[in-house]
Amino acid sequence: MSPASLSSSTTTPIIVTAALATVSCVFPGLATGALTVQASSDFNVTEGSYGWALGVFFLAAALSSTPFGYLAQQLGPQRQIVSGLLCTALVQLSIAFVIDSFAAMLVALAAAGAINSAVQSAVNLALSQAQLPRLGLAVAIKQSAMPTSAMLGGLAVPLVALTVGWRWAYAMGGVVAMCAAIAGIRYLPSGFADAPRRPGRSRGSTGRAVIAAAAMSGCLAFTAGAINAWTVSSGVNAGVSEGVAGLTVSAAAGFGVACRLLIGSRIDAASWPTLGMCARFTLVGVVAMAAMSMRAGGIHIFAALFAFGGGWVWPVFTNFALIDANRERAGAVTGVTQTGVYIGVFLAPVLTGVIIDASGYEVMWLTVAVVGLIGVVLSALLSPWFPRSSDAGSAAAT
Amino acid sequence: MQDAVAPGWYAAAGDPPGTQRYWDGSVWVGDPVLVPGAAHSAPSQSRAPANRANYGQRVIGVLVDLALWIPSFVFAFAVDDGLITDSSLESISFALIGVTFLLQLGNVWILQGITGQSLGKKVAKTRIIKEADGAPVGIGLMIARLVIRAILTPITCYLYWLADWLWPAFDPDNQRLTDKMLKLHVVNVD
Repeated sequence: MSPASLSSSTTTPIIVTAALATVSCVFPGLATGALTVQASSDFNVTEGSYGWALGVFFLAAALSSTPFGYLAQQLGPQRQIVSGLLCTALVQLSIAFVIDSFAAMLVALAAAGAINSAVQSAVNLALSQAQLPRLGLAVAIKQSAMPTSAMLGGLAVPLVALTVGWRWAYAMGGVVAMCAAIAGIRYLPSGFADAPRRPGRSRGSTGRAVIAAAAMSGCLAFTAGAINAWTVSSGVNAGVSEGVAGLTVSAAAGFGVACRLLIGSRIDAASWPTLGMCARFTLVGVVAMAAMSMRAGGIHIFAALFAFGGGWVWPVFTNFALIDANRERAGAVTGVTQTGVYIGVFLAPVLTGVIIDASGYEVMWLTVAVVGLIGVVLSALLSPWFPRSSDAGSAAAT
Repeated sequence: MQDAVAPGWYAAAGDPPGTQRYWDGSVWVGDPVLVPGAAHSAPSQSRAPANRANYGQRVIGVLVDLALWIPSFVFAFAVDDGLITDSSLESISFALIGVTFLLQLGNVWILQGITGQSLGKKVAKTRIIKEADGAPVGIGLMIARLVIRAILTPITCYLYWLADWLWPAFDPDNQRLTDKMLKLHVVNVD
């Protein structure tokens, strides 16, 4: 009975539950973006004003991510995830059946954003404590849940919002969150008392390295926020029809998910430095973002594929590197770095929108590419600071 | 791929939470066994002091600290409701609230940070200490404690506020959530 054979049959429920918890908690934010037209009409506010709802979600997540990461370390992943899932279910069901004003909607989405940050760091800690034989694949599946949730948010428009009403999307989200909570009680590790540190494993990253990683994540999240917000409208501006531009985003997002899973399938057995490889992949995406500044439809479509496929796979690398190098305190460390992610995602549509209004899409995409390049450089520089645990073990053995 | 791991006791994936199993360097040996003290989902090794304050004591401490606000609020309501009609008293009412606010800063941030006891905790015979060394927490951590609550309370629509207050009643270490983050404990001084 080897660890691998033991784990292959028993770790799948942990990974599925982690992915389900991730989707459930980020869904309110992503659904809000997708359901803007219907919800803003219902609340009698402009679509521009309703954009604040999504901003509030990520701002609340940014403010709460670090303290909730530290809390996960003390409470244990299971208690924090299950509590968070029950709370997000309550919030989503409130949106579905109770909330009747835009102000109340903002309050609810702030709560949902904070709960999301609490659950994300706890899920990372759960994956770390579960001692999965293929941590990288588990992280890739979990991180693929994010764009999948975005696609589900998009699907909610024709399937739910235009049939039974936009509020039912949140009702379904609440039910899924409750199911995830039940799965969490059944499958997730509650935490281990005084679990011995694996021999040769380092004590983890320094505070300075973690803060630098948060800055890196912020830069990269800024680029992700930009490509998600503007690929369609920029494509239309470049001469692509609306339908083709929408299909381009769907295809590019699907390509991005496939790239994440492909990387995840390789990352555990690979010997390359994780953040170094992250820098190389992301550089491809950054070049593609710069290419999107050209106002030519064909180039825009082609570049968008690589912007998503290369420029939005970094969460797999960064989360794997952070968790792998900080197994004992993955919750606290990723709580800090997720703060950078949420700030980047929050600022991206706001700042890039201002740039578009002032100078157009060309300048906006070049600005995004420069920010992405800073993230790439930081990733390359930080690579030695986040060694793989297997490297640390080998170094200790020699 | 399993990297070379020295023999020893480890938590094995898929085993029940709170258990460990022997790894002989190449395969797992035997069945998982409970880690002492971990049977009931302890998330990490508890370092809680033995003389932890009970929930009733903590409530008393908080109520006494809050009672400091009573004179200024009674005065303010009296002015607002017209029981006191002299308009010049309105400014006195605001001044009283300001003075009480400063007193509370001194009481909760400075006095409690330096000595571990606010006035309320003195009455309740409790003290707040750092988990690491049992020393008073200091002004910086007291401010951090309040700032964390001040941020998380409104953005969670008071869900965090409610959970933070109720948690010590059910927590094995009798800690509030914020105190868990900062590794602080409220202990009995008797």
